[in-house]
Amino acid sequence: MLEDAQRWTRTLEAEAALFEPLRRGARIGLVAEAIVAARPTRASELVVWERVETGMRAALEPYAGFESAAVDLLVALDEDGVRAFEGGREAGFTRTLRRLARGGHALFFARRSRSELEEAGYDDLLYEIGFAYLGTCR
Amino acid sequence: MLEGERKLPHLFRPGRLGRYAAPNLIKYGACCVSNYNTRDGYITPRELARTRVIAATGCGIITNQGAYPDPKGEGKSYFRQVALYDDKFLPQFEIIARSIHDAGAVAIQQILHAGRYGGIDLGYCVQPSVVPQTLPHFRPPREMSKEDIRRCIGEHVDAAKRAVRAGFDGLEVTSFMGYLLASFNSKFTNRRGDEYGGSIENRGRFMRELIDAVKQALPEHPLVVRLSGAELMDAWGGNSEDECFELMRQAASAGVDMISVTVGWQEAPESSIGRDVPPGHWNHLAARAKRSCPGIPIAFGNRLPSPVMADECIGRGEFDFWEVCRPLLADPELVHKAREDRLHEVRRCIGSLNCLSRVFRDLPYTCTMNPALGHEVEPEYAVTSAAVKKNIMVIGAGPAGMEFAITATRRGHAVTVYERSGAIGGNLLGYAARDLARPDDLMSIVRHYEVMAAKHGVEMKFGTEANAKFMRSVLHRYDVCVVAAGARTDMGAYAHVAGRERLVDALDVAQGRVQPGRRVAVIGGGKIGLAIAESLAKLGAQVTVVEADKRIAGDVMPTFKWRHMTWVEELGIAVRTSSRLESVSAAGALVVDAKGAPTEIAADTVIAAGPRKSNQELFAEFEWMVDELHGCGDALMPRGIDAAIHEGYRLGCRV
Repeated sequence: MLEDAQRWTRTLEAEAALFEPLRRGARIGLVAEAIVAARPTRASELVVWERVETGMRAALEPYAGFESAAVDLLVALDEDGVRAFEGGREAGFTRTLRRLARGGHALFFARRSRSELEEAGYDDLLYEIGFAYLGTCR
Repeated sequence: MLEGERKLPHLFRPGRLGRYAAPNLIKYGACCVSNYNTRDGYITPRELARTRVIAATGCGIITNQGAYPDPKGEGKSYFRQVALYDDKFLPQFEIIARSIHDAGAVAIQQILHAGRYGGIDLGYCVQPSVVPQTLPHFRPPREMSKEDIRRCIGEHVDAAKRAVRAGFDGLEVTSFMGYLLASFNSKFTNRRGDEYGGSIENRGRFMRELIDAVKQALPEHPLVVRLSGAELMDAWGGNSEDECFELMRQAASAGVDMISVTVGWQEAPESSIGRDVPPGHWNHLAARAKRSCPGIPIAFGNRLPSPVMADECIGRGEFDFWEVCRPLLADPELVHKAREDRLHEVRRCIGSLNCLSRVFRDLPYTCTMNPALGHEVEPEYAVTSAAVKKNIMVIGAGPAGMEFAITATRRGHAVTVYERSGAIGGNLLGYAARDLARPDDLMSIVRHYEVMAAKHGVEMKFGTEANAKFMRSVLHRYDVCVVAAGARTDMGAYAHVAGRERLVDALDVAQGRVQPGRRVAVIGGGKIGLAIAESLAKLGAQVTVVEADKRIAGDVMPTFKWRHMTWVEELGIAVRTSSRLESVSAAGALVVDAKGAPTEIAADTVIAAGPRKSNQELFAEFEWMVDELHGCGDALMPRGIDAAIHEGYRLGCRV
């Protein structure tokens, strides 16, 4: 599923309201944790969801490491996380992502500060996908 | 020997850290930065007053809160953290070291370079490798060069020397919760390809060089290192537990004099210190450290709030020093009460994490249970003998009323508390019983008031309804009346709701006066609505929460919101946000969302847990009947336990 950009575009359309507040050009990357943990190879890819004029568009892009990932937010999924989106089970993906975050199967790497993300319209999206489960000293 | 020392023979045994003798095996842990100091790192009178209280806690070793060691502030993690990168900071450190020694304790200064969580005044933080933040309020990372590493070690050594010149006996470097040392040790953040990254031997190199440099500079002074027994980041490429203990062995070989075992990173996906974690949960990590590093004293205290448990652990050889902080924030007299066999008088830390919630909002820390904490420098917060002794009546035996009554009694006033029900606790009693985390923590508040009211001679009159008629019956008997009658569900807020007479009051459910059915709609997704919803769902009810706001848990402590949201999901509680109640019928509740779309929620009980209203009527009724009329807690404005306790105390100090 992670590699199927067209299916992601359809999935994102199904939850279009959630992405509506995002500023044009806002980008979210989705990648398997195995790729994040290893040294990136030429074949490493991530799915990028990008807010465009007409809504959200998904595309596959090369992944060359944190520093060069041109995304605001990088969502890394462990094996359970990747499995959760296999086989066309992407419907209701925000709920799934929230469950994964709560269970420690999804981790969000922020490439922007909290205020920058909020200015870019991420507030509701971050809440829905489970940022509230990530905390300090708990 | 005092009775408590006899009962806790291990805890009150003399100990040793390097060449320094400690009177007992209790170490005050620098668990939390106070945020009381200036933005440029100078210690303030507020901090000095606070540290005088810390020095007097009776701990054998006292660790002063972490100072950042570098002039740039890359290591600075909190807005008002103290600094130790220059001699200009020394005079205040000298005062602190002296006050610790005056109290007979070993004085340790912690050096805290926050690394990944640092650079708070800068636009970046430093780490071994560029691994972006998972908590976006921290700064974007820059990779440290080898030159940066050398300089950083040098700054640690200079700060350590300064601390010793200020009079401290020893040093502590913290690898707690993902700070700089931890980020070098961990595979999660250390992805370097040079000799400081890769193998565990290489990842531990920074730590070993740091230990070696400090020990070479100050061989006579003990060095403590705080190290994770479990990062709780292993699922994300962090260190396994085995690797954590290998790093402890490296630290031991490098010459540290004590290892303080900690648990978890700030970004770990599971809780390590919240009150949902049972006391003693992490003790096995300390025991393993003890086995892994024979001959090195082990300090431990994560989620170990009880001196009795700590004494047993030391007796079993699981660790050597009980490291304690938050319980001493809640009750600075804890150690003395333990020595004097007065543990029943201890004011327990309830694990609300108010302290840390505030620190991570860049505010000075305070404590729900200790209203004087952070205000020690202000005479207005001191319990002093009252110049005019008064007869005082208090309406309501909830936390606000009891806190006031006990404080005022300690000042010499004669206080009588009139309570409608038959027990101390007010509304807290009902809600504490429904708490899913640890009801015993919240109930400890009630037990504390029962004990202290009896000790100080607060007169309790139960089963008394306070009203104008009652007031006339006691006319001129009292100089002061304090209305602490709490708050109730504002049923008037549902005046527009058709069928509102079917609504059940959340308070009636909490206190067991109403037994809800198996299908329940809870109107209101704040802390009260959630506590009710979660407890009913746990008992098997099918529960829907309806919240007018777009999110639930709006009035919940920031560090506990996630817990409620997790329970809601785990218990399968349905949530309808941005929705308001339209009508109630025998079939359930009709709610309407923000777009006006109606939804029927099948329910045999619809519980009103929405807005609350202060019980303020008595203010008007009593206005011309008593010399002084005051209020405190939810009776002024509905908030919660923190405001109730703090207001009760402040009024008690003042009246």
